[in-house]
Amino acid sequence: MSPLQNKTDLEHLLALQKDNESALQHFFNLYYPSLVYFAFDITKDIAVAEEISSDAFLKLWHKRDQFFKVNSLKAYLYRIVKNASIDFNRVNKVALKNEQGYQYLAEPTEIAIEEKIIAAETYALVLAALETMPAGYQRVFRGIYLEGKSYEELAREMDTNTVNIRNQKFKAILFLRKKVPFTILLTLYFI
Amino acid sequence: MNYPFQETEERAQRIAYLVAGFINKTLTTKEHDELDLWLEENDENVELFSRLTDERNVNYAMAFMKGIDKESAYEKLRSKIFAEKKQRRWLLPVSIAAIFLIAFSIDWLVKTKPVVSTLPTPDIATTSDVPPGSSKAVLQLANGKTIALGKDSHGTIAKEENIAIAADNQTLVYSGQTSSNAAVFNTLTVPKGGKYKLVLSDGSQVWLNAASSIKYPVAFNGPERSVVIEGEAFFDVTKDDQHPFIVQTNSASIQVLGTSFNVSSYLDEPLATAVLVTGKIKVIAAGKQQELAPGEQATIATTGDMKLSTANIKVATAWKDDQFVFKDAPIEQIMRQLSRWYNVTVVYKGTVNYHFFAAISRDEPLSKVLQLLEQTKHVHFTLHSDTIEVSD
Repeated sequence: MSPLQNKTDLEHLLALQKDNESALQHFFNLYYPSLVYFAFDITKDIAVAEEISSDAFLKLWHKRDQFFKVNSLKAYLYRIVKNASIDFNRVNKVALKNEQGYQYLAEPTEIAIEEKIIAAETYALVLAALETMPAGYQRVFRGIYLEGKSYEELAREMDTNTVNIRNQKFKAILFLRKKVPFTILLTLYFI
Repeated sequence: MNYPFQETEERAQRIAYLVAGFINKTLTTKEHDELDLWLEENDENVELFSRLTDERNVNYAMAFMKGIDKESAYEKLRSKIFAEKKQRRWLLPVSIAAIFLIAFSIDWLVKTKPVVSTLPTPDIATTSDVPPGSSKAVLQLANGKTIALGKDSHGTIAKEENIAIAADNQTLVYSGQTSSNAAVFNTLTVPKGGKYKLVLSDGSQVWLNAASSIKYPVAFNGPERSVVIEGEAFFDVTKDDQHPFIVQTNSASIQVLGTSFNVSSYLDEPLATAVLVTGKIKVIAAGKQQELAPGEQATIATTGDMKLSTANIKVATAWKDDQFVFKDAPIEQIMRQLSRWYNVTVVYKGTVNYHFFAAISRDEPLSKVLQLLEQTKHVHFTLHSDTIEVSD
């Protein structure tokens, strides 16, 4: 699975260098949600997080001929979003301080930033895994692992018996092991 | 290009891969060992790991990322790229035309309305005004099929498990009886700039505000009547002591007997709220529960902390009667509501420390609302197509 996936990502990168807009869309679909999550984690403002993330892709488009590794492209996007989010907080310090429900947001340390990237990337991977699963497996997987429900509870909710739930869970795990190309990003380091 | 930041990013990616693999149960033994090694490095890593794998945080992140509208965000980006391409070519003639247009409008304003100018007017001279939101929604059936609903949708739309689904007078109505025990779920999603009303199979009524969605079974045949919402909804629940009605949001679960109440749980709001109008409800968040009396509200912070206070029912439910009512409201809170109803983006160019009191119909175009707020002289707006700039 992964070599093929790598190739397509790399092919998209080459297409991007040649002004291909659908290649930009490919990377947008891949990274936009985790970038928005990351920016929101810093700014606590969803509209701003979306704007900052979208602008990062605009900047990427301007520099589209300068990326030769998918990882540098991703790191570039995170860096732009990080800087813009911190800038936003600097300018809006007072506003955030006054708004009910928020405390003054201190400037995040490098370690905090790294933790926020880890969170955004982790959840992007979990979501990608969930979204490739058929609906029935998804329900069981979410129920058992994410919502902490028992087999009995789920069986009652889904109007079936616990044996079926057990089977569905097993299939869901097999499905994830086979289908989810977690190695995509990692093997790329060595290209 | 290589950046120093790339190292941080790559290390973060490897850890993310391991933690996600742990959550997804897809780690190999070797990877498990690698994760253990990282955890043993220091206490901060252990703390981060337990935060990341906390079921509430995972669920919140899933809801957050799923809620992001990639398609329309990409369309916006595309139009920006396209505008840039055009701009380079047409910049000069366009700017000359714009100068003439502005000069002309000033001239025209001076000639035709010499007295009015004491009221500040938002800078909307160069673009058309933004119309208010209207009744619209998308219904997703159990088989994944989607149906767009508008102001004029009328008649039977579909049938699920013997339950008829009909649209009438900007309301979606479920009616009929089913013998089936299968839980068949539909989802009604209201976009930014929209609203819609829903009558569930038990007769309970739900008003949905802009940028909100509800997932519900076509018929309630279990011991509980359970629905899931995102965004804001007003419920008028049919009384049935045998079958409690449960509303789940990303931060709380609300148990109802028979009653009417408002729930607001937008991901972009700092606080989620439940306001009880009549009857009795129980709000459960982060493992704690609180019973509400009529006129009380529960506010739930993103951390799960819940507080009880006296509610202003008029302010909380004004939207349902197509009104904006702001009482001692900071500008950010007002702008988030305007952004959802008029489907516009808000950019801050200055700090507004003033708290606003205002009431106006939601049927007015955006410029009217902005003018009203500007009369306080504590805020100034500039409107370019679908972006409002806020300055002091």
